[in-house]
Amino acid sequence: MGKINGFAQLYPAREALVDERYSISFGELPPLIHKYEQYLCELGISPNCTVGLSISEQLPHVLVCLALLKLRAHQVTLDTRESPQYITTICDRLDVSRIIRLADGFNSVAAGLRDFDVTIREGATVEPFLQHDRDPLIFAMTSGTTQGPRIVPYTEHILARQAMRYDGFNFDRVLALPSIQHDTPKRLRLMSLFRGETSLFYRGNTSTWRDIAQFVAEKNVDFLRITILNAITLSKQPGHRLAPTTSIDIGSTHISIGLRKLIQKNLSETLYVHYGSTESGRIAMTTPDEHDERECVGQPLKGVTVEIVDGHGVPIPAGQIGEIRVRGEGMVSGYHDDLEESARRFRDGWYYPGDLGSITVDGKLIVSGRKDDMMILNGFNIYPAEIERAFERHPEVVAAAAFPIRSRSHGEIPAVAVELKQGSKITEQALMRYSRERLGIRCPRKVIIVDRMPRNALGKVSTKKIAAMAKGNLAIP
Amino acid sequence: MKQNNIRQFILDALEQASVPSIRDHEGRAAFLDGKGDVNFDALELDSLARMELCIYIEVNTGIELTPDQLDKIKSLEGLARALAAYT
Repeated sequence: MGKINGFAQLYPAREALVDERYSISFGELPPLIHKYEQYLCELGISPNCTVGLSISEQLPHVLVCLALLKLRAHQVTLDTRESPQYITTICDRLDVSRIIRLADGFNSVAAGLRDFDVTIREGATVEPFLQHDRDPLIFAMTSGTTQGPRIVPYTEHILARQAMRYDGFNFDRVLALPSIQHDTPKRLRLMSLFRGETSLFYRGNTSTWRDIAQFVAEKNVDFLRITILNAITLSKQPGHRLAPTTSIDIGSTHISIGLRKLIQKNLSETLYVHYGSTESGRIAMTTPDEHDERECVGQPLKGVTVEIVDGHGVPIPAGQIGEIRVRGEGMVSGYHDDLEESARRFRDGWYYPGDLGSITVDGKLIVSGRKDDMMILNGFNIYPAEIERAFERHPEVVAAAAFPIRSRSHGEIPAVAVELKQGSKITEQALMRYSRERLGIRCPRKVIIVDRMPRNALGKVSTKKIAAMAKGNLAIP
Repeated sequence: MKQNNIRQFILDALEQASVPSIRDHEGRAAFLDGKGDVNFDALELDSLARMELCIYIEVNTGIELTPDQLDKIKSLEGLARALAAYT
């Protein structure tokens, strides 16, 4: 909270949190957080207990989050759209003792006690379960295994260090379209506050670009964070391109050159594409003039070291594909309740995100895909990204997702699901021929045309769902 | 499943497996009609083509036919019978 208090002293009139109804300045923020902290205390929340936030409204979510940090209670977002079973699992794993909800919507920034509803979970202990760590923790979820998501504990200090990586990128007013209930956009909002930027919230329809563009112009947003799902929907709506002073930021998954060009054409020519992970924070980011066929994610950010290593952990020369590893200030050191995975991913001061990639001679990072996703077909290494990039350069293809068909005889047979442009009549056979010409032995042996690529809430393609679709498609007619 | 569908499937598989000799082979039409057969020896499949043929069969039908098993099948009609037995 020291950062926010500092900005409150230096720039008390600067807006900190803004939505359509409210504007809270940095000067107003510390006393407001203090007031919320008092509410939480009166509702039985004490330092070191772990609290679940089940608040979908963005502004109160941030205020309660900050108040919990000040109170030194640990917290986890319980997405209101998740299933009760998932919520119970997370609460059990983290020993959540209290769950906070809004009692009846969010009617005023100056909320009172009666605006919050706190549920006490039976059986939970109100004790610090990580005795050695005195800092309050925010738990974030990241993709995991069949046992559930991996849980990443991070602190305000870690976030503050991550925020410093943006030094040199001068943004003042930041809007993130994804819900605050997702951990990555939540971190982005907190980091904005730690950098003294104004964090804006948009409550309108995130599928209508005209309305978003209007809000962006009215509120002088100069950095707009979107997901790939937003980009796919919004970039098809021309006519409201933002002024070049407003940048668009996208990442978390592979962004093809085709989509980059479409964003630059219809949304904003000032496009940043980044690469990062929940565990490490943002690792690299392009500048707007770095988008080409190589589809790089830019140079490592300030304070982050990236290396590409072979299977023995030895760095390999520029241009060669290997495993990505990163280190720097502001990274977590392991997962909650998963020592095995922690030992696998965090080694010798490095974090291994599980991605393959290469570094160009001019120092730009190119991500080839997930290490676990690499397919080995009868001894040939095949990278999904290589297939996806080839297909996404086809003029009639919107998106492609490569996946393996597992075979006892051949290993992993590459296949690809393809989403076509509206009105395209191209056949799977024609796409097969196209890919064989370009990829040779590395071409997919099955092409499936899908109406719409199955994606999660942040726009990442679900290859598991696609593989299931492919399985149901086996027969001679 | 109809036998002629299996035969058409085998011809498609050979084309996908880059066996160009099947395209103009004199026995092609007779095989498709169930009135003739073509020996694999006549098609001169190399090891890569055999692998591709097995992969095509597996990804499109779920039938796992290894190159070793394919080696024991002498003709297209034999392959058609093998596939019919699986389905």
